[in-house]
Amino acid sequence: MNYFELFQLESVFDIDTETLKSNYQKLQRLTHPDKFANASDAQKRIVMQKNAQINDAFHVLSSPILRAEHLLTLRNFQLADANASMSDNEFLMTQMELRESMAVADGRHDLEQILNSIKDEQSAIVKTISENLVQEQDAGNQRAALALTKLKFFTKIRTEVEEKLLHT
Amino acid sequence: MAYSNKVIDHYENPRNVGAFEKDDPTVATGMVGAPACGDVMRLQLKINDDGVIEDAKFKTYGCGSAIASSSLVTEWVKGKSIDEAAEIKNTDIAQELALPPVKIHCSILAEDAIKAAVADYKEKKA
Repeated sequence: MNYFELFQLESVFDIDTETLKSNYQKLQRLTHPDKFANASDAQKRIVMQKNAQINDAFHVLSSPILRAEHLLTLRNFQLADANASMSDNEFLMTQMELRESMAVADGRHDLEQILNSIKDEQSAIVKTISENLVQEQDAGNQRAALALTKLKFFTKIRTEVEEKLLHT
Repeated sequence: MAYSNKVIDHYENPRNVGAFEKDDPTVATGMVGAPACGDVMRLQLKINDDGVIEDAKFKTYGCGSAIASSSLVTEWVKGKSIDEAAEIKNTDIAQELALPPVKIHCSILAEDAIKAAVADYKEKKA
């Protein structure tokens, strides 16, 4: 199932999020259970499935990580096993340093600084993913997949920093 | 989720936490990470001229199971030859720590860390 087509979007990474949102709301209204109160059980079931699919699709396309993975899957690119480990030493070293700076962070100011540097890294990686997915070619797909792996680390650590900020 | 007593023991009293001088020629380092959970694990082995692991240290940022897996590994590899250490399987780690299925990947990460350190040792030797 091509989620882009569901929302009448081109199958690209850089989608127009406004169009995504408005088409999502349109489809949501069209498949709202209230509209089918008098329909048969079979029809109700179909509409409910469609409604769930629309929600799934919106969730996927709204997230840069999931959107890129969906696009790569549509291109028949073999994504790495979700639990596979990675061993890019240089990258992991910076992750470890980031974790260390988080552990010794003293107060909101430190944490906000760390959060900002994570946001910068995330934007830079999303840019890399976007650039490499413009054209459908294997080298670009591979570079995008590697960048995705890195983005996952930053997404994880960002959640932890934000969590810590809530309690600081 | 309930951790086993062994996991809790390693988590609360991790063995061999720390680092060796990374430029020490007798030290092999294995760094691995798990994108799905953001865990980062560093395992260092101090290896003598006979290829026997004399000491081991680790540093892991991750969940209790990941910390326990790497802590356990540092205990297991001491006194083993490089080849023996490379034979440690994630299933042995998971069994010893009674890891639930959702945490098996932590033991895989620890096995991958040993493999990465062994590869580093062989590269340094070559």
